Amino acid sequence: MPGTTEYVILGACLFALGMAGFFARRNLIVMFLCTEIMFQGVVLTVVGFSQLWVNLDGQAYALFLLVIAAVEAGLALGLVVLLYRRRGTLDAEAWSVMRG
Amino acid sequence: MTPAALYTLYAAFVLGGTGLYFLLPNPDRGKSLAGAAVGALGLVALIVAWALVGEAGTGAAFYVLGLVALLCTVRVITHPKPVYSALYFVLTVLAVAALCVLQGAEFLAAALVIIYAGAILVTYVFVIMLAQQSGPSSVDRRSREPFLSVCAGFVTMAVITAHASKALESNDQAAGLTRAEARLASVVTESGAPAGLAEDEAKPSDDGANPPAVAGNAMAMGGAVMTRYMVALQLSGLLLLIAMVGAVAMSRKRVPQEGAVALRAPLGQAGREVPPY
Repeated sequence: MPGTTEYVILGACLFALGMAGFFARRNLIVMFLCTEIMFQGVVLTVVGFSQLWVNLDGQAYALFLLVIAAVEAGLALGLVVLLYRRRGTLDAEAWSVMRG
Repeated sequence: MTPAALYTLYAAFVLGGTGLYFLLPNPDRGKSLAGAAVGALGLVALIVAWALVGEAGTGAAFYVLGLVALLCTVRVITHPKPVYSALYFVLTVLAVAALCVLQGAEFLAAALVIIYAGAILVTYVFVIMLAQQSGPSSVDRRSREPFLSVCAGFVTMAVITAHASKALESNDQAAGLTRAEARLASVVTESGAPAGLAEDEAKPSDDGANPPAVAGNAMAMGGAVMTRYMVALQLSGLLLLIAMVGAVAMSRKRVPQEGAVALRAPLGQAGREVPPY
């Protein structure tokens, strides 16, 4: 069975790839997809730790994380629809008027 | 983690970061085969690092699923079309679910597939279709600060990995015994946990001879969520309700109805005057 270290490394890779994508992409929908990828990395990490300590705490955390992801997706996509209606574009740069 | 493994890992991060930088959408460059090659080298280095880290008997399934997850994630980030990004994300979720199965988290894997691939992704695809741009736009073809974002991401990756490996190592040395005790205790409690739910079914496993998987991951998860995490469960229900109300309030659209404007009187006059027959 694969050890915890491999899972933590893979989880860190997914988290950081999601982070890089969140910074690099300009499309609002793809940015939120990248946050979902970060969630996947965290899920892998806590599942690995759950196996290390042989209890269900990590898996329960991952389950509640799933709830948070669902909430985030619902709100974020509502927000994306709202913003798209206002400006007619999905570009995150279109909302950078408050930048100094 | 041995220094050799750690430095191989850092090399993998540098190669992967370079590859990702060239793979990110950029109209001036076009498709970059060199970037893909460097990224592939990074993946190979990552596999070598895994093999160096791995305890004996790391299955081939882990390597395959991990590679699928990473490759699909890279495609999610680098694909210029959002629909394809969403579809690659489904593949990532499936690979992660399979990795959860490898760790004995079957219930979580099923929940991942049903909730993520079934519900959340469908919502994403709906929104992508609702907010359809006319023709290919520059939004998806040009990245924002690709160099800085790749640096930020991969430095985070290296920091997390270094700290986690150090923590796990000291954990191994200091708490090896504690973890063995935890393992033993969990075998006893998990085979004993269902005893409250189904007395006669759990009786034979009371001696700890049966592995906890026999009791069923879903049953154990249900027991944990309904007892230990009861407050969190109620709160997550509340959170879902609030999110639903918020999403409806945020994204509704005022549709002007015919006649609705004529019926509305100014605030001070409403109800004061009655039109004559």
